[in-house]
Amino acid sequence: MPTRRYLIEEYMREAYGGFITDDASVTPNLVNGWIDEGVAVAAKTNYLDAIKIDGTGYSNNSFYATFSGISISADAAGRFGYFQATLPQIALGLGANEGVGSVRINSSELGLSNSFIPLTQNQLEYFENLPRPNGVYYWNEGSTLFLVSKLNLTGEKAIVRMISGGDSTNLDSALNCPSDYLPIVKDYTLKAILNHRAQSRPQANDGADIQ
Amino acid sequence: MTVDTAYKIIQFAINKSQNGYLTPDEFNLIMPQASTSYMAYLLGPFQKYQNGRPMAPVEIGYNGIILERLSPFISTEILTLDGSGQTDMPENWQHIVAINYGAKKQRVRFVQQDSLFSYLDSVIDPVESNPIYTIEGGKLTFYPATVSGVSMSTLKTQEPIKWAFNLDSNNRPVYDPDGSVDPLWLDVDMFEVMARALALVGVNLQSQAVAQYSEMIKQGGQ
Repeated sequence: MPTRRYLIEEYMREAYGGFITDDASVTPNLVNGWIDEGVAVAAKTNYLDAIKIDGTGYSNNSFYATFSGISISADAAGRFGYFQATLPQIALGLGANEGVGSVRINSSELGLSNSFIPLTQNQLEYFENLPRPNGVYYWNEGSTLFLVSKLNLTGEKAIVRMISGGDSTNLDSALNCPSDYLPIVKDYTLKAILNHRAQSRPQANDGADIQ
Repeated sequence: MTVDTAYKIIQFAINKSQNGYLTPDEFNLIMPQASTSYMAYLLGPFQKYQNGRPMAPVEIGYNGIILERLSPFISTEILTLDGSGQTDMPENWQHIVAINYGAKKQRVRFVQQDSLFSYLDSVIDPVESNPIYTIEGGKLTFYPATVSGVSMSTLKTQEPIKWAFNLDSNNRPVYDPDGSVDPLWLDVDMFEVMARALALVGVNLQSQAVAQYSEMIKQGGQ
């Protein structure tokens, strides 16, 4: 299972044709950002492949990661019965809401909850006016996860399973991407590196842009 | 090669052309200049730069061979920064080979004033974990000022090459090895240095023969 640091070194050595000099303008942190984007492209490709093969969209398990200990607080807009939490990253734009696979809480009093019920944007505006079973409903907007519950969830910790490349802040962590889709990540990242290196750079310290 | 051998070879070349005698003082005057001239050549004279391609035909960093030739003059020292993150440049420095910091010798990047804000404002590579430095007024300024464990490898000129002598009973100079300063150049480089010394001698003596011999060595090798 390659780590981010391993892949960064692999891609940079390929782009530079050997070991990289320490003064390279393409830095590991820069490549790390492109790798994250590459994983998103790979997950999207996987989703589209599923539609082509099975006629229905889904993402392979290997793209999912589980994050726990996500703090839930009261809704910032003050809506009664609404709560919110901050996801580790913005969920990928797959389908209507396939970027987040499941949400539940692990309560110290009540134990592990059932999976909460996902909503799409189309359902949001009328779901409160329709008969619905008891449960907690959720949807995400960007990196904010909103929950609707008759129970007070403030202070509880959410467990979220979502599509993610893993911990992008730790270069020694494994990249969460199956091997058959790593070539997509590599193609995307290498293209970005080579494009960066191909750009003109100012040769003179004269306060003027490149001519 | 000792300085005495170098002096004798240069004397031989001059005398062969019957163009005169090089006094010890004249030798001691031109040899440091010849040494610096060859060092400047290996560093990569900017007069050879091409438009849009600031690289000389011969330049430090091209390959290990040039670095080997300059290795006797490269030394590493630990830098002590003041509260403003500044430190003076070392004595006799000619070229900064590298500045590193930390256990893994991460490179501290040189930044010109054109790019200073971009580096200081970077969120991808913040200076706290990717320090940089600038050069102004003979001082190095590091950002952040609190960076520690910084070491710098520099190329320096050597103590001036000197053929020291004592006068014998006939007032003729006799080589004094104790007071002399030998060149640090590798033996294979000393002919290049001597060729440059002979060029200066040729100009001084207005000798075409000496100048041509010097040019032959510089252009065609040994």
